[in-house]
Amino acid sequence: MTVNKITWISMVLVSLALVSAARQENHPCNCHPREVGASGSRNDWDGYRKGGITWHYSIDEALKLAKDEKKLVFWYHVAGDLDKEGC
Amino acid sequence: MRTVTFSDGGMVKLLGDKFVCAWVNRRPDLKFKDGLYPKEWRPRGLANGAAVTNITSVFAAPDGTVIHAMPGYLDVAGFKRHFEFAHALQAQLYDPAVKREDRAGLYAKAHLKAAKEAKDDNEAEAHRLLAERFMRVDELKFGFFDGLGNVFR
Repeated sequence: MTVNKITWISMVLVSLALVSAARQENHPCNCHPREVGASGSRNDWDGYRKGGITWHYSIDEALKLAKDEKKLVFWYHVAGDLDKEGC
Repeated sequence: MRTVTFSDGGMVKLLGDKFVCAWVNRRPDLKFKDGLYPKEWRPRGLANGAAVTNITSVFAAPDGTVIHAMPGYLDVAGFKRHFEFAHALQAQLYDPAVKREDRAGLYAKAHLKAAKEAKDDNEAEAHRLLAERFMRVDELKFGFFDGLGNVFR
């Protein structure tokens, strides 16, 4: 590998790191970057995916089940493209 | 919430044991710009350092009555505190000794007391807003907490 190639790859990696840091800094929820997923990546939802919460995507359905199971309803009420990215 | 609170083993067990969990996106069409939020924008925060933004945690009874709701990101300790408040209030309201017509008054009283005890202004304001309205889940609109700086609508 030539010196030019190594320099070029290094520059790309440094740029990516800077962009990533800037995005974290802009994030307002404060769980980033202070408290992030287990691997330290903001987009790593491993802990969440392994968490085992059973989500229902309808309030009516959740209410019906809550009556049957004698439980309360926890409604995570969101707006925006949180399925893609978010907290 | 997903990477922190909903990934915590204790919280997952608590939610599974006591709740049926619903994830309802009221504005799936709302797209954040790249970088998620404008650089100059700084949301108001809750005591745990969390922001009041585009999410709300709502605790409801099986009959659809909203017991408690808190906007913004809650860490594990914050979520647990609000869960405990909701759980205790639900038990109080649905005690067989309590008449159905007395529930609204008890609900308002509990939220006003919590507002006085809250160490954070936003949290206190959220409790005050809730105290004014005893409602069902279908009456809780996404703009309910707008006064707290919920800009994503």
